[in-house]
Parts: sequence; structure tokens; C-alpha cells
Amino acid sequence: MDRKTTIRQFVQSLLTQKGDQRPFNDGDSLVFGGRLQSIDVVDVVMFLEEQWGVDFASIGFDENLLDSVNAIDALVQQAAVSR
Amino acid sequence: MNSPSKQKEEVSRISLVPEAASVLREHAAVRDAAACRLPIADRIVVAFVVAKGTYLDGILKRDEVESSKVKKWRKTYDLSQLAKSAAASPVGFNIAGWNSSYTRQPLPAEDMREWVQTTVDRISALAPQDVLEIGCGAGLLLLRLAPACRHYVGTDFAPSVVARLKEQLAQREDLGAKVDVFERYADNFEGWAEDSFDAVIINSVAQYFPTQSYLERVLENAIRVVKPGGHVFIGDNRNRELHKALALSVEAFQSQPEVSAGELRQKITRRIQQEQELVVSPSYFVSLAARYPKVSHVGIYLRRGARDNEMTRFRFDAILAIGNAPELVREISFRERPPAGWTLPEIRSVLTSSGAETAGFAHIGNRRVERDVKLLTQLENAPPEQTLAELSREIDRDKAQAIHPEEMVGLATDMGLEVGWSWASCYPDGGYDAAFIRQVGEGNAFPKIKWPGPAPVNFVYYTNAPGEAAIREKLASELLTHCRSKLPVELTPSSCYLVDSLPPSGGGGVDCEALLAAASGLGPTPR
Repeated sequence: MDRKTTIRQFVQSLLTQKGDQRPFNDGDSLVFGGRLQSIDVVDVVMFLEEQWGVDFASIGFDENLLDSVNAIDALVQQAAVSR
Repeated sequence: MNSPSKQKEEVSRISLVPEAASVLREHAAVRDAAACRLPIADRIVVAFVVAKGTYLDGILKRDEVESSKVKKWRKTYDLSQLAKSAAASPVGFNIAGWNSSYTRQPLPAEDMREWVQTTVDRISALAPQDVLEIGCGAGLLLLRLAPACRHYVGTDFAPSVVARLKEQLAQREDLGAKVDVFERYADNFEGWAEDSFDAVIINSVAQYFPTQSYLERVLENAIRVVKPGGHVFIGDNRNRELHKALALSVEAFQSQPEVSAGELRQKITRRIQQEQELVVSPSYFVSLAARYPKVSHVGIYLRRGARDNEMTRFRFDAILAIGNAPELVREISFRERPPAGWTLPEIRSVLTSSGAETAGFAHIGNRRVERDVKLLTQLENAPPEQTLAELSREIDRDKAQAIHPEEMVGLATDMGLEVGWSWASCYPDGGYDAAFIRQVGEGNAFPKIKWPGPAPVNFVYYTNAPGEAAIREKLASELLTHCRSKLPVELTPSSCYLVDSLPPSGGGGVDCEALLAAASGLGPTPR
């Protein structure tokens, strides 16, 4: 499974846990679109730390960079390059 | 079955069903119960149950849920300090992580400056010397309050926040000897003896407590460690009585004007159901006075401030006075609201003509939330296809009538008076009570007033139950099954609501009217 699919599936499961069954596209705004709250973003962060070893202490934290599947994928890519 | 609001129409003829209440009380989950029969066509019986905290703790696995949720909030705050804005913050004004629910962007610095200053002013008026601040964060209050104190202890659960605060303290030589900062959870009071502080501050923190029982645990300890004559300040609480109005306000702001009433209603319901923060009714704090003998007075105050934001509109401060003599609480008579509502000229006129040392005014319309509350009322009665733009036009045609709390301050100043406001009454429109008195002296706390209290309906639900809705519904369904197995059909409840308390009626029974009113709008539980 490619990285973006893994991210998409994780986001899907997160939304489902919250009772949100609505479909979403890879470019859809999830945080600023109101579907994920700050506390949900923590789940995304912990997932990225575990799955790909993203180190937010070194790259800094910005919710804007976790706002969509595309944005998350780009962040993981960037984190891998900067390691 | 009919909705609770329909049931409420028949409320004047309801009667208690003691047999059903008795069977419910036999269940291991139930601490207390009431059942009311509605004399409508199918003579429905509705049950209200106060669940045993220990039972709910067990089925909800609350220890695990609380621990996991608190850990997530801890990580949220840790992450906030990894943002560039945190590193760039000036000493004493680190507002990283303070985002608007409306724009999801950082709150304007001006709004935060006012928020900090009004909070500091309110706490300073209590003149605390030995302070414990739980959830001190990056020191927005600590760095301003500590200079006037003898000893200030700050705690926070987020390691990077504590580290950031310690960096700032290192630049403040004046505070080094009198401030201690610890990383610990809010419910950890280990090492602090009874009566060891004269103020415990819990500001803008309670919303991150996972459950009402966690909040109670923290407050029980806070009350214990405060000396007689001191205070527990629980500030910037989200108001459950206006939870729906806030949800509407945010959803309306984020929606296109063409959104339909039907869709907007769904968005509001979803927002409330998915709420992750603890939202508390002022009545919860009012109820503490009856449960903790050490609490001698409870004040529920609107936030000060001229800035228009979610804190000034929808949040409140609760101040528990500990062990004060009852004679320090002043009785004031409150004038009833006139049919068309109070206006500023009318209040001025009353103050001028009475010339009294004190004057109270009950249920003043609140300009801060007037539009949101009116829009909510319109929305609830609107046909599904009506648009937000149409609803807004209807609202904006009406002239605003309510009074901004800060306008009352201007009036009081003009007349050589001071004014205090209370939200303890929990009016559903967000209105408030105000008391004017002759000046108390600069920097002194506004006197403790015997404010009008909440109606019984406000004692039914103290808080929301973030993340617990599905399990509570399951328990309600289990209780109905229990009743079906033990009661004849005509005595069996058709729906069951889990509530926080059973408000007493004047005659010593249970106030079914209040229970039904509080349940209205929640929708029926499973049959």
C-alpha cells in the first residue's frame, strides 16, 4: 500500500470513530473544514510519529500542514528528506 | 412517541409513577430515579435516572478514557509549543495554541491581551498571597499575579509548556524565590495539606477535563487545600446553557449564506455530538455550596471585556468563597424584568429616582449573545428550505434591545456606583442579573451578593458528556429492558434519560416539569 493510501485510510478511520461517515477527497480541508478538532490532530501526529518516525520536535508543528491527506503526505515526504 | 417538547405541553397534568422509579432503583447502575406519566393519548411513562458514578466508571472504563483523553490534551499543548509562534513569543505573552473556534486561526493578540488583563484584575481583587494555579500554561497569569504574592505554585501537565515557562522565569529574578513550577496532572494534589493556600486558580482549564467526575475530583481537592477566607477561582468556563447558541454562531459564521435551515440544524447537532471539551452549566458550581460545607458563597460572573469573541460571549468565571462568615454575603432586592425587557435609560432612571445604596436588576438582555440566541430561536422554528441569509435578514430587521455588560460599567461610573453581574440564573437567552452598589474602593473585590439562582431545570444536566453519548444511550436502553421485565406494560417507561440530578419540587417530590423541560430537544432514547 502506498503512503497516501495509508494516510487516507487512517484519516477515514479517525472520522468514522467520530461518527463522520461523509466522503472526502485528498485535497479536502479537514482541520479548517471543521471535520477534525485539535485533539484529533494529536491522533494524526501520533500516527505519523509511529508510522514514519516524523519528529515534530525538529520540524516544528503547524496544523496547516496537516489539513488534508495531500498536505499530510507532503509533510511526511519533507520530513523524510530533511532527516 | 412524542418529542419531549410535545410532552412538555402536557406537563401541567403529569403524575409520578413510583412503581417504575422503584424498579429502576433496584438496578445496579441506578442511584436515584423518577418516572412521570404524561396523560396524553397513549399515557406515556418517561423515566429519569441518576446513574451511580462507580457503575458508569466501570462500563465507560473511565479510568482508561480519562487517562487517554488527558494524555491527548497534554500532547496537544506540547505540540502548541513546537509552533514557530511559541518560540517567537515575547516573555509573558505566549499565546500559542489559543485559536478561534470561528476562524480556526490564532485569536487576535488584542483579544488575548484583554482576556489576560481582565482575568488578572478579577483575581487580584481577591488579594491572594499563597496561590496554587492548576494549568498555569506558559504563565500568562502567573507572571502577572506572582509579583504581588508571597508564594505562587504553578502546575501544568505539558512538559514543553512547563519548560517554556521555566525559561521565562529564568529571566525574572524578582520571581525566582517565590515561584515553584511543577509538571503534574490537575487531579494530583499530593503533598499539599488542607488549608495551605488562600487561592486555587483553575483558569481556562476545566474544558480539558475529560469528565464531570474528574472536574469534581479536582474541585474537591481545591476546596480542601484552600484556607477559610480564601477562594477557588474557576475561570473561563464554557457555558453549557449557551452551548447550542455557540454551535450555531460558529456554524453560521463558517457556512455560506445559502445554507438551508435543515442543513444548518444538522451541522449544529453534529458539532454538539462531536464536542470534545467539557461544557459546564453555572448551576454545577452553584450546586457545590450545598454539597461542600466549606463553600460559603458561589459567584458566577460574566467575563469582563469590550472585545467581541467567544470568551466574552460564551464563557464565565466561577468563584467559590471558602469558609467566609455568612454575614459577609449581602442581600439585595432584584427588580423583576419589565415585559419589554430592561433598557439602559430605564435602569438609569430607576437608579436616579431610588437613590438607594444598592439596586438589583433581574434578567437583563445580553447584547453579546442577543443575535446568536435570536437566530437560534428562528432557526429552530424555520422550514428546512429557508436559508441562513433569509433568517439573518429577519433577525437584523429587529433593533437590538439588549444591553452590553460593559455599557453597565459606563452607567455605573457615571453615577458614582459600581456594578457586578451574575450568570447564576442561567436564563436560556443568556441574560444576566446586575447589582449596583456605592463604590467599594479601587482594587477591592465586588462584595459577595446573594444573587438570584438557577431554576430547577438547570440542575438536571450539569455538563455535557464528551465521548460518552453512545454508552449512556446503551445504558438507558438496558434500563428500559430491565423495566419491561419487571413491570406491567402500563407502568413501563417508554423512554429513559440519564440526568445529573433530580430537581426537587416545592412539595418535597421530584420536579417532573423541570426534568421534561431539560430533556426537550435531546430527542427520544431507544425504545
